[in-house]
Amino acid sequence: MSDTHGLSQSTASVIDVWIKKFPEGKARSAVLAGLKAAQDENGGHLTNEIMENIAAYIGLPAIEVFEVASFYDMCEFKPIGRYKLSVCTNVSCMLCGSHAIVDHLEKRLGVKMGETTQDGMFTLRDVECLAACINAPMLQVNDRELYEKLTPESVDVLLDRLIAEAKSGE
Amino acid sequence: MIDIQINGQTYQVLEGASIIEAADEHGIYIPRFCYHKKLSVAANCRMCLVEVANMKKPMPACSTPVSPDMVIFTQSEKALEAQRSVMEFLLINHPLDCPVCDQGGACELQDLSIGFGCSESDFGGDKRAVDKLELGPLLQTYMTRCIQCTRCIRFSRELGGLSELGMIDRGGGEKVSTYVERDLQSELSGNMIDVCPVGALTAKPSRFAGRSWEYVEHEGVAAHDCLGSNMYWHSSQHDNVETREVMRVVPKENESINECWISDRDRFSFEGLTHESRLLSPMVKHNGTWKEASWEAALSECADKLGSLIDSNGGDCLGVLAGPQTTMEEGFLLQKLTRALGSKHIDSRLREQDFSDQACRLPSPRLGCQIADLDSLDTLFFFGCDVRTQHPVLTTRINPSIEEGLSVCAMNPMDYAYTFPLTEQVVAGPSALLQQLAALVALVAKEKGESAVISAEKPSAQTQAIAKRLLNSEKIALLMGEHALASTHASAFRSLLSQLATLVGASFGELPYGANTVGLQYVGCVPHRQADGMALAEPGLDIVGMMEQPRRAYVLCQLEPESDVLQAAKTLKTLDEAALVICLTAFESDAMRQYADIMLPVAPPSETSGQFMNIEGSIQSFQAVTVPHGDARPAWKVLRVLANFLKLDHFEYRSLEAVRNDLSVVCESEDSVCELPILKTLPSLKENELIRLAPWPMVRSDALVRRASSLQKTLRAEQVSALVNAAVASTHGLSDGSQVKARQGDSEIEITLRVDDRIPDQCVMIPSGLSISAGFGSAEQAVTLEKSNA
Ligand code: SF4
Ligand code: FES
Ligand code: FES
Repeated sequence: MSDTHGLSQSTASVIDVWIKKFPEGKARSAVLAGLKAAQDENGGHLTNEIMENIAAYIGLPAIEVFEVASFYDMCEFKPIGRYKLSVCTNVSCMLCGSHAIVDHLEKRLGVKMGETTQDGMFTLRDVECLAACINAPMLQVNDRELYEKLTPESVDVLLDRLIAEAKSGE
Repeated sequence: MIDIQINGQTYQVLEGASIIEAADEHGIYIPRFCYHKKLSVAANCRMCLVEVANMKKPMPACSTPVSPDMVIFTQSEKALEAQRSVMEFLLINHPLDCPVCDQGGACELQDLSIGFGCSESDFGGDKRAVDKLELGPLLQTYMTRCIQCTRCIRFSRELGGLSELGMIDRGGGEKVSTYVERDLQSELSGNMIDVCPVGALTAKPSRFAGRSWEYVEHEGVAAHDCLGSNMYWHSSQHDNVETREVMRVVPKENESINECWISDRDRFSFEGLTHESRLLSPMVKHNGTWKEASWEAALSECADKLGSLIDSNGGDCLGVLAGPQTTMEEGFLLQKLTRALGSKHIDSRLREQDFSDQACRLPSPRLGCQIADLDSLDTLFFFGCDVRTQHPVLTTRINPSIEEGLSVCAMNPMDYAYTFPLTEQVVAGPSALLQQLAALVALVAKEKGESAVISAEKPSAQTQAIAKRLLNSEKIALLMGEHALASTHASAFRSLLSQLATLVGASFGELPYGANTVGLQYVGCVPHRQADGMALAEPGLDIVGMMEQPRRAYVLCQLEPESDVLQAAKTLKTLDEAALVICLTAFESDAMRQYADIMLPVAPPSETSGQFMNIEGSIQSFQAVTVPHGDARPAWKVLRVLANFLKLDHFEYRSLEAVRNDLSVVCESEDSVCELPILKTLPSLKENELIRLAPWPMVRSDALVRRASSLQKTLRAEQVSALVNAAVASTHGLSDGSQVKARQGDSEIEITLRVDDRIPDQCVMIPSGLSISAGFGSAEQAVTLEKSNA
C-alpha cells in the first residue's frame, strides 16, 4: 500500500479517483473532493493536520489546500453539530422571508446564527445562494439535502424528524 | 509584427503581446496594480482598463491580446472613467494612512490615486481591517493596506518556487496569509516587498528609517555571490557626504543577470556595515596589548617588520590570502605587492583544497554558458551544489523554467531542499558520489559508442536514469557547485564532469562562492599564474600548502580565516605561530585579535569604488556610496601606500583609474581553453570514515553578512546543528536533540545533534561559518562524533 501521508485509505482512494478524472499534472483539482471526504470522516470538520496531510498526499504546498478550504463555506474548521443547517439569506430567499426562518430557528434551538446547540445536535449557518431561488426560502442539511419553500411550520417538522432520526440511530 | 493604433498613433507590435506589453514597449503608460512583467497575468485589479474600438466595455489591457489593426485609447473619457472608478473602488478599503506608511513616496497606489483618484468617495461604510501577519525578521506586514493584487503570492509560487503565501477566505474577507503562522523560508522573500504595489509588505530592517525622497540612489553590485546581481544602495543625506549612511538596498534591473530580483542576503547585508565590530582605526599589538595607531605609524610598523623578515628570510617567507570581497584593483595590487616582495605564495581560493589540476584549469572559473541561458535549457545537471542557498537568484530562472519543460538532475552529498522538483537525483557521501559520477561517465561513453576511459562500479538505478536523461536532451548545462569545489576530490570531479560535458555536448561550468573569487583569480591572486595569466613553471604555495609549510609572515586581505576557509583549525594554528600577521579588514574579531599583529581598517564594498568580475566573466564597476567609517580607507589605497613604505617601485598610482588602467593592460582577457587531465582511475577512497559536510549557510558566508543582525534571525535550528541520518545516529548511540562532541584532529566542538534523513550514510553535516564552528576542524574531512557528557 502506498504512503497515504496520514490520510485514511478511503480518503486517499477518493482523491485517487478524482485525480484520474483530470488531465495529468492537474492533481490539485482533487483537493475539494479530498477535503469533503476527510471532513465527513472526521465528524464534520477539518483540522490543520488533515489539510496538511491532503497537501502532502496530492503533492501541493499546504497553503494551496488552505486556500481552497477557506474559500468554501462547506469546510468547517471547528467541531460542529450532527446536523448543519445552512440557511440561505441571499436576495431571493430574503425577499421570500428567510428572516422569519432564521428567527424561528434561533428561537427554537436557542442558539444564534453560527452557533451549535449544547447537545451537539444542530449548527446554524447562514449561506449565500444555493441555486434553489425558485423555491425560496430554503435551507440545506449537512451540505447535501435541500429543503425548500420553508415556513416556520415545515421547519419544525424537519427538526422533529432529524431529532427522531438521531435518537433512533443511537 | 502587426500594426495597432494607440491613442491615434500607429505602432508595430509583437503578435500575441497583450495591450499593456505593447504599450509599455512604446513607452505609453497604462496604470496597473496586479500586472507585473515577470509574473503570470492575474487580471484581478482592473486598474488597466482601456477603451478598444468596437468593444462595448473597457478591456483590461494586461489580459487582452493585441490583434491586427486594433484601435486602443488609453486616455479617452471612457478609459479614464473606468480607471477612476476602479481607483475609487480600491480605495474603499484602503486606509488613508500614507503619513505613517513606510511605502509613502514610493507607493504605486499613492501615485495612481494622484493621477486617477477622486477626492471624494461615495462609500460611507466602515473600512475593513485585517490583522497583521507575522512573516519573520525581514518582512513587516500591514495587511489592512493590501489590495489583493496577488503579486506577492505569484512571486512566491512562480519565481520563489515555495508557495508560502496564499489568498484565504473570500469576498470582503479575502486576505493574504500563510494560514498557519510561520516565518518565510525563502531566500528571496525581500522581492515581495518590491512587487507589492502598496505598503502592505515593507522591509523590517529599514523600516521607518527615512523617506524615499530623502534618499540618494547609487548603483552597486551585490557583494555576496558570483552572479554580480545589480542593485541600488539607498543612502541618507543628499548634501553631506561625510555623514551619509546606507539605509537600504533594492534591486536594479539587469535582464541578463538578475532581471529584477536580488537575494535577501544582498538586500539586508547592509545592516552589517554599522556593526559594533567595525575596525575604525589602525591597531598595533605590542607585547600582547592592542593600541590604536595612526596610519603613518601602523604602516611604517608593517613595512619595518615585514621588511626585516624578508631581508633575513627572503620573500619566500610571506604568504598572502585575499577574501572574495576584495575588488579586482585591490587584488591586482595585492599580487603585485606580493610578487614585488619576492613571494609566490598568494591565494584567493579560500574554499578549495584540491589544487592538483590547477595548471590545466581556466585562469578564472566560468559558468560555461550565460546566466540567461538557464531560461532555455532542456536539462540542468547540478553536481554538489546547493544552488538555493548559495546562489538564490539563479533559482528565479530555474523555478519558472520547470513549467516550460526544464528538467533538473542532481548528484549531491545530501538531499538539498531545492525549491524546484528534481527529475532524477543521486544522494551519496563523497566517495560514493565519485563512484557514481564515474559510473555515469562510463555509461554515457558506452551508450555513445566511445571507449570507456574509466572503469567504474555499477551505476545505480538513479545514475542510469540521469544518463538516459542526458542522452535524450539537446541543450544541457552541467554545473559544479560549492560542495564539489570544496571537496578533496574536486579535481577528479572536474575531470569527470568535463568528460561528461564533451560526451553529451553540454556546457560545463563552476559556481564558486564569493562576489569576486572569479576576478581575483583573473588578476593573478593565485600561486600558479601571474597577473597576465601566464602559468608559472614553479608555482607558489596554495592556501593549503601555506598552512602545511608555515610562512613567517602573512598578509590577509578581507577575510576572517576562522570562519572563511575550509581548514579553519590548521589555519588558525599556523597564523598563531607566525611571526607577523597583518590583516586588512573591515571588521575585527576575538580570534583576529589573537593571531594578528597589525590590523588595518579597510572599506567594505559600499565604501570603496572598484570592480568585481562575475561568473560570466563580465567586469562590473561600482562607486563608493559613503565615505569609509572612522579611519578606514579603501584597501587599494592602503596597499599602494604600504608598497611605498616598503620602497617598492612602480606603485605610484595617483588614482583608482590608474590602477584600473594598469590592470586592464596587464591582465589580457584570456581565450584559453581548459584541457583537464583525463581521469583514468579513481583516487583511493576511504570507506569507513565519517565525513564532515560543511556548507556555509547563506547568512554566514562572509564577514559582512555574518554581522547583519536581521538575517541572523532567519537561521533555523537545523542550520546551526549537526545533522546525521537515523542510521548513523543509532550506530553512534545518539538521538535527536542530544549534545554531541565532534572532533577533527585536535579540534573539538560541542553541538546539538539532529536526525535528518536528507543526509546520506557516512556523513555528518556540521555547518561552517557559525559562531560555534568558527576555527573548528576542516571541511569535507573525517570527523568523529561522540555523546557529550555535559
Ligand atoms: S500584500 Fe501587496 S503584493 Fe500581496 S496581494 Fe496585497 S497588495 Fe498585492
Ligand atoms: S437566493 Fe437563496 S437559493 Fe438563491
Ligand atoms: S493590471 Fe490589468 S487587471 Fe490588474
